[in-house]
Amino acid sequence: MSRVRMLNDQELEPLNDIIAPSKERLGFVPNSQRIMAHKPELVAAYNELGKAVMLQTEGSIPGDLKYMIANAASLAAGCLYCQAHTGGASNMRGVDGDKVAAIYEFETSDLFSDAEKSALRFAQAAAAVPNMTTDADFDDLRKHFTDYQIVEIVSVISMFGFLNRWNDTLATPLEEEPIEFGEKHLSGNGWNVGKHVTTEAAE
Amino acid sequence: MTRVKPLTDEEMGDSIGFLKPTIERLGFLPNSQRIMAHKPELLVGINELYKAIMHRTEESVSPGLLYLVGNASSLAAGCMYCVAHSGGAANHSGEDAAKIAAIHEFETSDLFTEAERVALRFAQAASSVPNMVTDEDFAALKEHYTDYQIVELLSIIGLYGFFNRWNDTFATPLEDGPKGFAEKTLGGTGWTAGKHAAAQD
Repeated sequence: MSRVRMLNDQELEPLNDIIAPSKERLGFVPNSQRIMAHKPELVAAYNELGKAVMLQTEGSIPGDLKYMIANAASLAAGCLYCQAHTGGASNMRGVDGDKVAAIYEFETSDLFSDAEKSALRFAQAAAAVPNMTTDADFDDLRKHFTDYQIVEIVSVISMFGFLNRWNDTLATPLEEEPIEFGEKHLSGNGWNVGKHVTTEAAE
Repeated sequence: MTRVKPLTDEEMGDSIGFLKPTIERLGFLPNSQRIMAHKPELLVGINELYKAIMHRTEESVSPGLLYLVGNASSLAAGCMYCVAHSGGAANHSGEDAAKIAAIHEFETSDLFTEAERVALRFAQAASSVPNMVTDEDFAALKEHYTDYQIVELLSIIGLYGFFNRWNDTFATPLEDGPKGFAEKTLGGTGWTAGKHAAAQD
């Protein structure tokens, strides 16, 4: 159950335009934002940052890799809500369910390119506490990515630094779509909805 | 060693005109933002988020408390760059240096009110990996804060969730201002610039 009340659709209505980009990215209004909406400026600015992080330019890393990086960071931090969301979002961008499920064993899986492995290894180290990234990790990244792309990679990991704390702290209830994705593709890795169970299901 | 180069004023050009208020407030543009400037949209986004989190309404908690919470959060995550910055910002917002130095022992220090202790305990638990926040922590928070204020407290913990990963990953070089503050105020608690020691030009 959410530890802070979520705003309902009627309460969210004045914020509909603000939340639209997230709704488009995910296919639904995430409950995380129904809580952020207690402070309207916060949910508005959060969406601006999200757009900037996910913005694809000519020099960008592939969009699907951004969500796989977010998934690896969320795995390292242990946020089950974010794992389901980023897994579902990777899948929506064309990453096979099997490949999403293999992110937790990317080092030994043959589904990932060397560039992807380098980025996922980096995400895992950067999301650990204490931080585990080394100069050698940067040297390895530079074999595959430009400085611009490295900044993009760290921006994704950092945005999920916000979201991992946000959702794991609030025990944000998971929505139907990511629950379905998680149960179908991630449960073999031990993923479960945990404390992010929806109020309805609990009642 | 700098892992990705912070851009100079010249390299950033006109794109940082909107940051004038930040630069005036701090007296410098943080290196964390000079690295973000490689993707200008990102620099805009993080400043918008920062402004929103610091936006004050009648119901808001004080900026001083927000920075104390950001400091406790950065201590739990171990980012020395962010500890120095948030400590300096708390001081700038009117919190005593002695109090900032006592955050690492807030549970037993008599410099903190019970409401502050509850918020700092929350920051510490929410910034741990794995996350250590319990329903009991929320029950304690709700004795002192409204839902709106809890969202504010968690928003600064989230912001430092961004900054802790960002700066600890890049080993962002610490600027003279926050470095001086931290050496003077936090040196006794074991704080060092570590990998954030700026290369000597």
